[in-house]
Amino acid sequence: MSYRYYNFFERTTPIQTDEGIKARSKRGDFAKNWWAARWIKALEPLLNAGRLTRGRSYARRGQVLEIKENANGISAKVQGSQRTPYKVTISLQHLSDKQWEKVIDALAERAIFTAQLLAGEMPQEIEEAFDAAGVTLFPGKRNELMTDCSCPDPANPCKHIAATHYILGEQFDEDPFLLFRLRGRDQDAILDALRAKRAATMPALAEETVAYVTEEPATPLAETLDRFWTMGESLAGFPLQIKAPVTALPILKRLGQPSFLEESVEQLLGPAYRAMTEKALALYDGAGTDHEEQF
Amino acid sequence: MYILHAHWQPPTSSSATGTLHFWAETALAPQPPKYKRNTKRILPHPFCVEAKTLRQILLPLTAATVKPQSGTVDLWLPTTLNGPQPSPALLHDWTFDGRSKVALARWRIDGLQLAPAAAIELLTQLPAAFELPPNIRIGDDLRFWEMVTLFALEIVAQQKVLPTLAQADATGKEYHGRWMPVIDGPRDGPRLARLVEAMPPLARAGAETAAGAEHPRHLLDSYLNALTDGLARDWGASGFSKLPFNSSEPAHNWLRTLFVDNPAVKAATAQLQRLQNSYYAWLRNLHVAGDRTVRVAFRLEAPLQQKANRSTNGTREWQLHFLLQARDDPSLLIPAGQIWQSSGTVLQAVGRQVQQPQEKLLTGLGYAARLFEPLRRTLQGAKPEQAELTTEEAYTFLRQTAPLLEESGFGVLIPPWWNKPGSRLGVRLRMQANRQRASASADAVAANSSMSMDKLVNYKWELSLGETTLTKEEFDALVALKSPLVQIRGQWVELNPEQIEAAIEFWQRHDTDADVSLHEALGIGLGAAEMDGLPIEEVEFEGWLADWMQRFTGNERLDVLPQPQSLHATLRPYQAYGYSWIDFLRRWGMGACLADDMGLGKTIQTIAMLLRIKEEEKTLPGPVLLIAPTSVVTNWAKEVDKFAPDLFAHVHQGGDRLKGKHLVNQAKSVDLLLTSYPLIRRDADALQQVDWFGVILDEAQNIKNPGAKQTQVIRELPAGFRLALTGTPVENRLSELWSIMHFLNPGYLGSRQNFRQRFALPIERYQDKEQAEQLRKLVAPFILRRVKTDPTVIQDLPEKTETKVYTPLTEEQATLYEAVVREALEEINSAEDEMSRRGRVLSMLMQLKQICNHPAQYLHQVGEEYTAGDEEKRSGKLSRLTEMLEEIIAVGDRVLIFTQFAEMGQLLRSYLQQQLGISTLFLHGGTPSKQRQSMVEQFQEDADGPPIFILSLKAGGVGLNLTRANHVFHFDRWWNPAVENQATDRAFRIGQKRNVQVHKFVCTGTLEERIDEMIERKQALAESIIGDGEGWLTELSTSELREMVTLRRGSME
Repeated sequence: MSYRYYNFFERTTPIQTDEGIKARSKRGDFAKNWWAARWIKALEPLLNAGRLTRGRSYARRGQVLEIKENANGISAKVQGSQRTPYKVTISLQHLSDKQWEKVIDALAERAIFTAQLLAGEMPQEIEEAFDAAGVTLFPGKRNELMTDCSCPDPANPCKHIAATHYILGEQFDEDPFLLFRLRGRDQDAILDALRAKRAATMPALAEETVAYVTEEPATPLAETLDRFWTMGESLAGFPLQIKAPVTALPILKRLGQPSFLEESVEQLLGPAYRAMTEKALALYDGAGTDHEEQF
Repeated sequence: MYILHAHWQPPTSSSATGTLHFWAETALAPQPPKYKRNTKRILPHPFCVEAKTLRQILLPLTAATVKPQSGTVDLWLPTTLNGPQPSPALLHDWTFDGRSKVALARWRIDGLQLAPAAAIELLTQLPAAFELPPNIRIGDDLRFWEMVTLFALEIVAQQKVLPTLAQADATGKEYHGRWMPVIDGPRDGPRLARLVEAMPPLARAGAETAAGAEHPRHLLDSYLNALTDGLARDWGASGFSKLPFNSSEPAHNWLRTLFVDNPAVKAATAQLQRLQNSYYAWLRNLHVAGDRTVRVAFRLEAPLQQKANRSTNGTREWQLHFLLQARDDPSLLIPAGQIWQSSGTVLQAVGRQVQQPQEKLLTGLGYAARLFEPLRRTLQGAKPEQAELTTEEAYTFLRQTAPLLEESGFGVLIPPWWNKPGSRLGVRLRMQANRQRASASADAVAANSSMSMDKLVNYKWELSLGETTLTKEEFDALVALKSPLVQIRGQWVELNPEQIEAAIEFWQRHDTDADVSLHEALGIGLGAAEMDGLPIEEVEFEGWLADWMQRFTGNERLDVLPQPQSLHATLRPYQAYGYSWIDFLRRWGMGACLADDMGLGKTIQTIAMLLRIKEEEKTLPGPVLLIAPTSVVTNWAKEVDKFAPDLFAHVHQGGDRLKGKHLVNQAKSVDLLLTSYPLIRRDADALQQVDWFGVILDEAQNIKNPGAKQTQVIRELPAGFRLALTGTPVENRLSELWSIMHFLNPGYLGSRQNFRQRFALPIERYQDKEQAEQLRKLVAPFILRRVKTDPTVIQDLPEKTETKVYTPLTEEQATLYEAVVREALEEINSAEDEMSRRGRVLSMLMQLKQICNHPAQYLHQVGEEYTAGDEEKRSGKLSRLTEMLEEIIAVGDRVLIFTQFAEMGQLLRSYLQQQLGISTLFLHGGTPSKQRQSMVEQFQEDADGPPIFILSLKAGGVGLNLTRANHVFHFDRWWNPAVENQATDRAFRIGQKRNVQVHKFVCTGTLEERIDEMIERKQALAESIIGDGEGWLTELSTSELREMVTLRRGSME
């Protein structure tokens, strides 16, 4: 009896599922970027080694069925050993309005903060901005990070919470604004506030008052009868450059390596792109020669 | 005739591909019936080609192996009580009530259907307008989709396609993997805008209601998306021997769907949502530069004055400004300052609405800062407007960062001097005559024909940078500065490492002068771009070589030679210039192309040139071969006879012509051998054995196909000099141009492959103006073209030029002719009295005239419902008429054709309209007078009116003013000069500005020729003898008659 009470942590086997969200990292660290790593670090001191390991393995096996964001934070469903999946919640203490104002002030001073955030990066010096407000972005004290799970394990955080936490870490990689949302402000609210701050320091410029349309509406068909069959504007001299790209795989180069693939995307899809160029040029050059032979 | 169309019907669900619907209008259908308005049913289109027939018309146009299905589509078309209106290009014989109002109505159209990717072969191989069979036209809508397809082909070839993952419908349960085009480059916006403008309204006619017609941009997008997806899918899959995706990963499941038919991704919803979130994060980089309306742009500004003599590496004098740029019009720019001053989420500026401008700018800057370190500096401020850069940093930006930024979708505005000629290291060449000949004058060199044309020219080179030339010391000093951008005389110039290396190697390799041939020098002087990696900035010619180049390239007029004494005609001034020009090129071993308009006297200029040689050298050094179309050979013989009796010419033609050794010997004994294109092929063996002093091609467009046997045989003829004559605008048809130049000056324009890559494809497909100009410079010295509308030429032209066009009979015609002659002469001989004899003579003449025109006319095959087929094969006259009309219509001239026979007129009209697709008017005795008026008006006034007017009227009809015509054909003739002239004068009025050419058709070997000679000889007495009509012919005796009508077969092929 007491043996069981002391170590409630049973090595239970979770029910397998194909429908879960699998962690992308197969081994080693979960996070790619420094801020996701920081996030994960916030949790690890709070669990014992066993639960951490189980948490990791759950994440990698795809036991986390669902992760959703709501006004309070994160809620997730994790498949455990019981048929009904367990409900997990994770949330951070929201910053107060006053605290946010101070943070915004600090962020507005240097454009690089906003620029990097918008471009998908967490600026290195972001802590400085939060420092100025007397708060931290990442959960520092234990009570700033609130977690709960409906599983029988009384330990909190349990392995289900850990699994969710790791999956969440991977989302942080892609979306630094998630952390702000957990702290109580979404992207639009932050950007609006920053914009207002910038505007406040300059006299507003009268904007052009003529109304513009984003897309011209099309002429009704019934009004086009006098030119119904002809091209609106000659396409003589329409420039075309049907040739291989100057730099190979231009779109993949612009996009960079995606987080959802382990192998290099350029290696994986490269052959497809090269075949497209080959076939396109073969068709085009062949078209030219065929004409000459037709005489 | 047929007009081909194509309609794009977008897909109605996310798993469909959409359909291209090909259809055609035909003029061969019967008159459409009258329709009542407001029928509820959608009626079938009355003159649309059925699918089966369309297969036979459309598919043979290309080499594509496509398998379309038959299908129908319902289109809203402009409609009257007579049914749907034919498109303006369709030439038809129906009559419509002009007063009926036009409104949109829906019609069911038969045709052939293909998915866009399946149709790609067809759409990329459509023939150009001048390559189509004459009775087929391609409608604007099909041409439009052809261009859009090529645009899509460019997108795929350049790999600008993106794998996407999107919800298939609103339920969110199914996700599809599809390829999408990425068209956000600096050249894409304006092109898309242009395509939207160009879309014919017909393309939008496939909606359920007329009011619901799609927006052109949406229609265009749906087509580009569908086609790109289809192509990327098929072609991409072919890059793998086995698809490398395993199915346990949602991401791999998705990627797999990009290469198979079914785009639906197999995975749990939560997994797909997660994947999509990650996917959007991945896509972020694609949109860093902006959205559909604007993109972030950078503008580099150079400092006005470089600080003198100091290395500028430390100071930051260059400025990189930040802006937003409109995608569809790169000239519209919003500076960062303005963006920071606006406070709302939407900025109205430069006629555009820009969403979240500040965030856009910051996103772009955030991304660009990763590529270019100095930007991070600037971003430390709150409202960055520009970055200050050192010269080094500016150079790095220009060379490395700018291309990367452009590829990422940013706008980059760089100083105009970057990468332009004159701002880089290059080579200047000086060319002069080889040392030994440097002192001689051009004429002395030319006169001494024993000098070889090889190694005639010597060139020296210098290194140049911008406008200045550099000595080796100056060059070394610049290199020592170690700055990639230097300012020379106020201009910034690039000194990049590769060029410096190339220049160093150049010094080492080319430290002596070199000698080349005149041909090579021309190639370099007129056309070459580069020499050993350094661009050629300038070429200068010196000494007499410079004078020669001036004359040769036409910058200075040549010396006009005096007229040859033995020429029995007077050359007009422009003709004297022409023959001097041909002679000049001949002396210098250059093949020449005389491309004057029809009727300006190419024949006489050629004859003049030959006579001059004969006069100078006392005899031609060898025989000259002249090759012309079959019907033209006789013309040449007659003209040589008339104008140059001192030239001995032999006509090589006919079944009884010389062969083998006899031919060779005969050739050697004459000045000029005349023969036809078909015979060159047949008698090639013998003709290639003669060492021709020169080979002349008349109507040189006959060798336009470089691969044809005929062309090859002609090129292999041993020839001292080469001359090509043509009336077609040869500069516009590049394949033809190459073939003719390859005959005249082999190797000058490079190999056929080379020419295609360097000129033909860029000019004809890409509309590359620079290459077009290059080519023009290269060939201009070898082509001389004067047109009738040239004011200096018009002064020299008489108002009316009359020529006889001698054409042979076809075999069918000859057989009929001889049969009639045999029978009629018998009857005439045994005629009982004067009356019946007279009658029989006149009827014989009539029959023979008809046969000379066309067998179908004589055999009365031309009825009410007549439609022409390959009629020109049956009649020599019609065959030659077709050849001549091609040239005439190509230059935009207008034509009257006279015939005495209404039947012949009808045959001609049907043939010209249906088989050649040329709009034609026909006026005959039965035409009501009101219609006559409107026809004359149409011909005289309409800008796009029919270019041909056929008239078959008894001479002496109501005064018709047809002065817009500048060509008059007498297809068959009144054998009475006064009557004929009166007809001609319909077009000719004294004092009008244009020259009229009158062509009179004469069948060789027949009575037409004989009578013509007779009339010519008796010209002075003609009027008194011939009187009013043709009755004078009946006065001839039977033996005179026999003499006149017997067929001389010698001139037939």
